[in-house]
Amino acid sequence: MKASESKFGETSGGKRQHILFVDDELRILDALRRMLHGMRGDWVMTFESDPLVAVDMLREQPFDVLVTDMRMPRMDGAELLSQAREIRPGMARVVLSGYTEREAAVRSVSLAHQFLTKPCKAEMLVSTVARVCNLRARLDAIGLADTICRIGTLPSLPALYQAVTEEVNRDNISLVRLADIISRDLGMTAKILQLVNSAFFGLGRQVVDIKEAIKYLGLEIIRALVTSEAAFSSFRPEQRGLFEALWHHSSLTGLLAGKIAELEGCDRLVRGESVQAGMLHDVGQLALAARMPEEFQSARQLEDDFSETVSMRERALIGCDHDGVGAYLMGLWGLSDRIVEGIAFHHCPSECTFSGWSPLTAVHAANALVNERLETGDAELDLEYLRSVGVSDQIDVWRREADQLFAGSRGASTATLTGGGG
Amino acid sequence: MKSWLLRAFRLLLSMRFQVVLVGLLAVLLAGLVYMAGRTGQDEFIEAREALEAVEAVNLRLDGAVSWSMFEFQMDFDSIADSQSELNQSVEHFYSMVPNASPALSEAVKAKMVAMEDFKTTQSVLRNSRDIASSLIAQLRDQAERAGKDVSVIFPLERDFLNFLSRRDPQSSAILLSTVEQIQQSESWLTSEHDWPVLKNHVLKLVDFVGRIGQVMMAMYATPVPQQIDALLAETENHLTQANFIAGRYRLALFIVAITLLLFSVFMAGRARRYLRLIQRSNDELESRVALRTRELEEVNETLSAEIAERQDVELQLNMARKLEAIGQLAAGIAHEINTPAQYVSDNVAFLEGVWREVEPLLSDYERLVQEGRVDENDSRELLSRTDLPFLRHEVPAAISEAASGLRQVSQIVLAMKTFSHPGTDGIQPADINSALESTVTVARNEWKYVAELTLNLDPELPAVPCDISLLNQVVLNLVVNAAQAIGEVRGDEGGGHIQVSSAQQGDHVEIRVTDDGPGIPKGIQDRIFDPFFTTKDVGKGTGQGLAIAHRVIQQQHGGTLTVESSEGRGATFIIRLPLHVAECDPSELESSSLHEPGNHETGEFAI
Repeated sequence: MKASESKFGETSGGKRQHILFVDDELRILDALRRMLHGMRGDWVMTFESDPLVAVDMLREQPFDVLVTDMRMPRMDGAELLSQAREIRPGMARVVLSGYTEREAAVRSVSLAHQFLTKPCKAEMLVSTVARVCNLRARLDAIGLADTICRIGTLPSLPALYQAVTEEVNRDNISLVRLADIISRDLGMTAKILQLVNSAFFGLGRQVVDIKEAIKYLGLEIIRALVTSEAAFSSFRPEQRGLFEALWHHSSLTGLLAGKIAELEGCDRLVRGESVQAGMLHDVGQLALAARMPEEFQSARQLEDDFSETVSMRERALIGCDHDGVGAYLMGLWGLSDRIVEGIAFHHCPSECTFSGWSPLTAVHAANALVNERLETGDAELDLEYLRSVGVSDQIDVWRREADQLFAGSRGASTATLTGGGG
Repeated sequence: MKSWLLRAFRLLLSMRFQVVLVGLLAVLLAGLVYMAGRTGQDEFIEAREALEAVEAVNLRLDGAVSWSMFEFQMDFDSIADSQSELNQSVEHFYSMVPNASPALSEAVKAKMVAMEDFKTTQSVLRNSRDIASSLIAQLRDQAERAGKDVSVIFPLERDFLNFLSRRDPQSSAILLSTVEQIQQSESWLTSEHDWPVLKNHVLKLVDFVGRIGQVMMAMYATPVPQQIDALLAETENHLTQANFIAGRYRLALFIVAITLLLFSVFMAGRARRYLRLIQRSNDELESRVALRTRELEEVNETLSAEIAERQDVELQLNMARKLEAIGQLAAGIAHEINTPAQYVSDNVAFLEGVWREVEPLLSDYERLVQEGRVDENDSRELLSRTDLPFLRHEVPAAISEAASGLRQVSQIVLAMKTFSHPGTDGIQPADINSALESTVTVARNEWKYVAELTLNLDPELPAVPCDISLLNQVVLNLVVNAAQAIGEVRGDEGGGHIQVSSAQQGDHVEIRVTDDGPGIPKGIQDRIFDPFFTTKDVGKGTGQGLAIAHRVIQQQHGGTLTVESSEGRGATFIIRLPLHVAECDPSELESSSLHEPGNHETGEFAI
């Protein structure tokens, strides 16, 4: 938490965030009002028991965050979330539900950014709402709130999307095969991590391993996610070439980041976070390509002079580079701070206030080493940063690891990624 | 011709014919025995014996007569005895053979006549002899008295005795001459008056001696023995003939008996063969029965194993259903508990925050008091550090809402406990109202988004004998159905109404669950209690709920479950339970439910 405060944890200036709480149970609202009384300095809170009235309120004035119950008379939470996304796309949406049914999560998985379950501890509620508040405020500041907050799903590679659809329709559905497919796809990996780490499932710890996540969510949920088409989707065919390269790059970065973390003797959680941060480090590209395809393309077309990097052009064109977009989105989706950090600062790790070893270190190194070999992009090793972390003497070891990885995986990865060039 | 023979042969072999034949033979045998007894053989033998008896008596009679004649016995008893014996034996003979020749009878009669002559003659002789003897003896005395020589008497005496012993004409002539001599020579005798008498008797004696011989001859001359012989010969003849016929009969009898015997042996043989045949087929039958029994036993075993397996599966199914029901309810109940848990927790967090805020003020205040410098400015400063009106308003509310939340949680937990585990099994008097309250509470989450629920319970309701755990599930089923029916038309907008009521109606208790949902079309009203009938989407219901509810109420409680509905105006499900268990014997119901596999489902069922 501390690490990201510089960019994602701070309260945004003097402007108070406006939060709308909707629950049909008045006593819940009363208790929330009392409990959150201490937050009145930072938040302007509105409590509404009728979702229809809440919709009207959303039309009349902007809110920064919506916290809603799922099951309510007259209009259910999913419907409210869906309408809220249309009316105020830039608003952060949080579910606070008393339902333990997993189907409810599936129903709202692409509508809400975070899922909380009743009874939810006061600190948990406050910290979650505060986090999305701040992320949203920063997005708002750069004018991207509507674009980023609107994103419910990230597109998947068509081949992998088809593979996962086939797999869940099999009679002898295999958890290993399913995990293999999902862990190679950015969109599905992000969604699964969002779901499994939400408070909805009451898991007291982080899950970063896809196989473990599937095991925990259950094959039925995965099947529902796939077949409902709410959580997963496929991108348009004309974008295929670009995305295949991105997928290849992301997979390799994830694998290498995991290796590096392993070589550094990190524990299982950090290794997993390193893998996922590596895998998702360019998820912002995916979001931009899906939501702002024109800007995304033009930022990559002006390649004549090498005075500007893609990130610089993105900042100029969009207001934020893809690192930032990916980090904001994953932050909104409730992924752990260390993964969000790894995504946010993978180009410029020195900007991160936390200067010790973290998954960011692994992702930065892996990304740069993969780029060296694919001869794409503009990422270079930040030797000063690595020295400050105290791992500069490890670079050669990691490089050898990268060479081995490339030698071993080139054939396989290109084959699975529909033979796309990298 | 051949077929005729064959038919006859078959007839001969047929059992019935054989029985008839044996009967005929037996009758023939009996007839022969009868006829053999009718030949007269015995009668002839008896007749012969009778004749022989006559002959013997006749001889004895002749002997007696001879004896009497020579002994001059005066006593004719033995003769008379023999005479009557002879008559009797003759009569006996004729009584036996009445048509025998009467010659014998006539001969005997003639003999009897002769016998009378003889007896008369004999009597005269005897009389004369006795008189003459005594007179001769007197003659000696006369002579002595007269002084005469006694020897003159001697020749008389000698010749008289000689006469008596010889009784022939020569001695008669000598006697007569002697008498004449004495009369001549001895005149004194003649004067004696006895002499003429003596002489007379001597003459008589001589006369009758000659006559008695004739009488005897006449008597002997009667043809009695000849007649007896003739009759004997005749009888013997008859007997021989009878013997001959009897011999024939015996021969026939023997043949028939032998035939019968042989036939019997043959039949016995056949019977034994049949018996053996029957025995064998019986044995075969028995072994087949045993085999069949064993097969049946095996089938039976398989069947009972299958029944056991089925019961096991059903048990598991019931368990699964129960678990499913619990799971389904559990989600709702969890929500019902999570909601108060949320606001209790938030209120407590708030109170905690309040205390954190107020505690330093109190500490500061305490410090000021201890330092003895509580002035108005300090107090104001302290007070300004908190929003007292807010606290005054919110803290009691927070406490009371936290408390009410805890009450609600415990109420739900209690209702759940009451609902699922009433602590009694089987039909027991139960408080229906409290059961309805619990059920409605447990199911609250199922109806609260679509409808308001009113309980209209009769406070005077008596305890109703029922299996409360089953009844709870039936009512739950009806309430959930009502909520789903309202949900169908209203979605999650709410505003529907469900009423659950209880009331006593005579000797019944009525529970009504009324909703203002879409109602049940007339066409399917009589089918809604059928198993597997459902209008819900696939996966939403098994279509078993109402069927099982119906069975639970009707079969296990002897009550009724009916529906009143018109399309578009909602539906009312009415449970009627008898107040007196006598109307349905619970043990019988229980046993019937035990034996009817289908009834296992009534134990528990899914919603």
